[in-house]
This record gives sequence, C-alpha cells and structure tokens, in this order.
Amino acid sequence: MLTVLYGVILAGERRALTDGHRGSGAIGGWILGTTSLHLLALVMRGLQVGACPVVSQWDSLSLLAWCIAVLQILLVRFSGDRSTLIYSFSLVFLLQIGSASFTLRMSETPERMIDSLTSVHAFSALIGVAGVAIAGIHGALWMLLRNSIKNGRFGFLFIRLSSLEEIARLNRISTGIAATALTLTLLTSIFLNRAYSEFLEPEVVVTMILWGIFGLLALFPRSTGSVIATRAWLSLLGFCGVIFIIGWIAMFGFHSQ
Amino acid sequence: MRINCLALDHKILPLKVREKIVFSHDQAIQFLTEFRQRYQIKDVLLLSTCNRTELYILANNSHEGFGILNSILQKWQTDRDFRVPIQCAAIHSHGASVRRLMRIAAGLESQIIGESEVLGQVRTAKDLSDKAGATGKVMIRLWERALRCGKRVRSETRLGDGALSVAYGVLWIARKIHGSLKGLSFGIIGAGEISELVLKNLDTIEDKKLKILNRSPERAELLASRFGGIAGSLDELAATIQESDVVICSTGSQIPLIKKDELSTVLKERKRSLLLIDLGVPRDIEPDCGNLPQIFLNNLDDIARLIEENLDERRSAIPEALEIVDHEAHRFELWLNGLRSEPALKALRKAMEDACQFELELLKDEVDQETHEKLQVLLPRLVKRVLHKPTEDLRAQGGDLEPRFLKRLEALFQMEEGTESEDSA
Repeated sequence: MLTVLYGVILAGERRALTDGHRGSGAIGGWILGTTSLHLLALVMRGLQVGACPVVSQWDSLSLLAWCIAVLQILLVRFSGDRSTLIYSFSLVFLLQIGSASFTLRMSETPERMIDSLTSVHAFSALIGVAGVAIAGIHGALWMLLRNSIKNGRFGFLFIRLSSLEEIARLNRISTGIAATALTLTLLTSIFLNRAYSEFLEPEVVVTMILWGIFGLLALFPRSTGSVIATRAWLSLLGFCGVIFIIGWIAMFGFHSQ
Repeated sequence: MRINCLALDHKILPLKVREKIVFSHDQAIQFLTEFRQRYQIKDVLLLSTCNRTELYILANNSHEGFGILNSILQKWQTDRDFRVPIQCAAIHSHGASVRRLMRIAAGLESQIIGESEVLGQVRTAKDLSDKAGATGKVMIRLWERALRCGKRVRSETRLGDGALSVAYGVLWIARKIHGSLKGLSFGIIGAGEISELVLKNLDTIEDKKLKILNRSPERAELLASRFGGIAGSLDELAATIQESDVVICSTGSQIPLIKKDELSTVLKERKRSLLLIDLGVPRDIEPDCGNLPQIFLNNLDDIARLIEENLDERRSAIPEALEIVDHEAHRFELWLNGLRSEPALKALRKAMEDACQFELELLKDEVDQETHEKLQVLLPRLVKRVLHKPTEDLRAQGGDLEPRFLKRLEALFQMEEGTESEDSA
C-alpha cells in the first residue's frame, strides 16, 4: 500500500510540475500522511522484532526509503524549495518497490534479533546513506542546471528547478547530515566488537569511503566558483556508492545478517 | 510606385553572420546618402538592429526594385564576407514588403514576439533616413502606418502582455544562478536603449549595487543618476567585472570588449560565479569566455530561445495582431493607390471647379448679389458631392488601373477644360 501511496505522490508532483506549479515549499497532507503511515508501519515492525527494523532486506530498504523521504521533507521545510522533491521521492518510490518485492518471500528470509547499539548503528548508517543519496541527487541536478545555462539550452530543468545557489545549499546541508550520521555509525561500530573481517565487506568499505568524502565536504563547506563543481561530482560519486550499497543490501542483506 | 525590401534577419542568418552586416548610425547615414545619390531614389529606409538589417526602397516598378536590391545584396555579401542561403527569399515584393514593416513594428517578426524595443528601432530608422535626406512622402507614410500598427497591436491585443523582454530574460537567468537578486552587484556596459531597458527592470531589486560604464561618461552619468548607480568609463571594466555578480554588455563596439585572456586574469582574484550577458551585435564578449569554469555566458540568441519557450499567451494573440496588420496595410495601399490616381483626380476636380467658376462669372450680371453668393456656396458643394463616389472608387482601384488609363483620364479633363474655355471665349 505504501508503494501505491508514494506512486500517487510522484504522479501528483509530476502533474504539478507539468502544469507549471512549482510548489510553495509547503508539504501537502498527502505527503505527510504517507510518511506518517510509513513511520507507523516501521514502528510496528520495530515492536514486532524488538529493535530497529533492519533485520531483513525488505525492512532495510523500506527504512532507507523512509529516511530519504523524511530528510527531503525536512529540507523542503527548511529551505522552502520544493522543486527537487520529485527526484528524491522517485528514489523513495523505487526503494519501496524493492522492499515490497522482498515481502513476497518474507517467510523465507531469516530474521536475526539485534541489540539497541546495533540498532543505533544501523539506523545512523541508513540516515547517512539517505543523506548521501539526497546530496548526490542535488549534485546531479546542480550539474544539469549549470550545463543547461552554460549551453543556452533552457528546457524543463531550467524552468522547474529553483536556482544553482539554492540547490548548492541543499547539497551542503544534506552533506552535513550524511557526514554526521556516518560518523555516528563509525563511533558505534567501535563498541560493537565486530570481527575485523566485517570491516572488509564491500558495503562497509564503500560506506567508509563515503564517510571520508562527505566528512571532508562537510569540513569545507565553502562552495564558490569551480569548487562547487567538484562538490557536485563528489556528491554524484557518493550517489553511485549508495546505489552499490542498496544493491548489496538487496542481494545479501546487512553485513551483520 | 512599388516598395521592395531586402530582409536579412534572425530567421535566415545566425548571430555570427548578423553581426557582420550590422550598421552603426554613422555607417547607415553614409550608406543611405550614397544609395540616394547613386540610384536617384528618395524613399529609402534602413532598419539595422541586432536581429535584422533590412532595406526598404520605393522603385518605379518591381523589376527595378528587385534589380537594385539584388545588386546591394551582392555587394554586401562581397564586402562583408557572408552568404545568404536562399538569395531570392531575402528580397520581398511590394505587398510583402509593406506588410513586413508593419509586422516588424508590431513585434511579430521579433525573436521575442511582441517585444516593444523594436518600435524605438523603427523610429530611429526614420531619423537616419531624415539625416541622409532619403525620406520621401511614400516612405514617411509607410513608416507612420507601421508605427501606428505597432501601437495598435500593443494596445488592442495581448501580444505585448507580460514582461517577456530581453531584459526580463536576463534577470531570469541571473535568478537561476544566484537565487535571489537582492544585494547582487550589476555591471552595465554601454548606456544605449537596451541598457536603459535593463536598468528599468533592475529598478525593483532591493539593495543592489549598480555600476554603469560607457565610452562617453556623460550618458553613463545620466543613467546612473536616474537609476541610482555609479558611473564610470570603460577603463574601469576589469575592476567592474571583478566586483560584479552579473555583467550585461550592450555597446555598439565593433570589436569584443571582454576577451578570454584578460578575463581569466581578472578571475584569478575572484571565486564567485559570474554571469556575463552579451546583448551587443557585433558581440562585445569573446565566445570563448564561456569556457571558463565559473563563467556563465549567454548572448541574445540564448535569451530569445529562453523566452520563446514561454510565449504561449502571446502566440494566442497573433491572429488578432495579424488582422490589425492587414487593416493598416490595406489603408496604406489605398493611400498609395490614391497617390497614383491623384493627378487624374486633381485634373477632374479642377475641371469641374473651373467650369463652376466660369458659369458663376457668366451669371454675375444676371442675378442679384444675394443669389450669386448663395450659388458661390452651392456649386462647390455640388461638385464635391458629385465627385465623392468617383473619387473614392478611383482611389480604391488606383493600383489596379492601367497607368495609360490614368494618364488618359488626366489628359481628358485638361483637354475638355481647355476646349471649353476656348469655346466660351
């Protein structure tokens, strides 16, 4: 049902953009209702498993989708710029489809109980990945808009997106969120007493690299002139890392599972 | 009498070619003077703007008009090193030329449909012809009709609605780069009509910093005092670029004012993005400048393309605007046809008036003073009433009538007048 609701949000946003309404920055009741319902579903699942709902692939993807949706909503509330919401929610929709497809074989998926620290570790990791994904989306949109202006081709993106300055600001904020959340993930991992071999698993290595990149970007938030183009490229690189992580989770689950 | 035009505009030539055939005011006056002397044509109008270079002439017949314009086109192509793709499409016949000038004044031929700057450019074209002594009666009338058409289209239709002008396009791009325009620094290079229009659009922006540079500081100071900025000369160009967020160039310079090498030196000391808008034709900024990473360079064609996407409302007003163009073109044709039959009509009217006068003179001794005075009022009125319908018909059909017929008509009444006078005598 959540997949359908997110699909309706996407269709509504697309129609609003096609009709020329850029949105005021206010989040509609449908979006808030859907994310609230999604939260309720996650809480119920959390209560069912007694921890953060990341015990299976469908749980993980669904929680990641919710994290991205909520972060994007917070960005819209904070900036008043709704022009990029449709792109983040497209990813949310895809993740939710992925999650829904896993629920079909839910009974076959082995579930492992996790403790509170691991819950914090996993949740912060997903918030971090969501931040990287949103930063990547904004980085890509920034580059597309920049090329559109530079080449004098003023198409759909030029008309519908807010401005390079605003998109760069949203990129910086999501970079900061990603860096903070991933730092928390690393700190919690110290106390988890995991085997060293776990740190060498591909999705952990990629997450560490993302932490390094986004940590640096967060430490140097200046984004003027050509520096911002480098930020955009690195954000896009981060987004590729997110795709890899999502793919890994979808195939093998979290490294703890 | 036929009007023909040579039209080289944005529809057939790209910007890099158009900038080769643009005429400065001095060049235009010189060209018009030489043209008038060489071809002995007194009715000439040269409209040279960033979007078009068009030459309107009044020839004795279409054959002569086409021949002259074709030789002018060949000369321009040789002198200015360009080729028109389909040469015959650039020269227009009488009817098309009349309608064309009206469509131009109405903004229907503009890159940005309905833009209002073109009316000022049409006015300037007539001023240039005046200075070259090339404004005959017919061209003045056509020019007046075209201006009237332009004004009517803007006041009676929605073609000019909205703020879709070049200046609006410039600010749209600036907003897409910098977000809010509040507090930005603007450098305006050149103090001509386009710069003034941009400044009018900038007027509503709060806390902006404005610097206006021009070759002649007087004009820059005038605009600076009017719009609240700082005036300067072109020597301050590098410093202005360094401190500005948006630089808008619109000068009549024949060579680029901003070159890539100089710009990259200036940019070493600044990190922010810089929007350069080149509204000059020929271009004021070297196209390579756009390759620098923090530079956004857009020219007139880019802005026209941007606004083209948003012209739906204006496009819906085109049929109404075309009706006005048709009406004004028809009124001009009537006048021009009337001009052809005017000698015949004059002769007819004079013959009738002279006949009345002659009869009145004969009656002078036969009727009393009061009756004679009444007849003096009555007879001209009677002539006017009798001739009204034939005059209107002749004026309307003047273009279709054979010149020989008009000559014959003219001669007929002159002969009758003479004959009558001789008989009476």
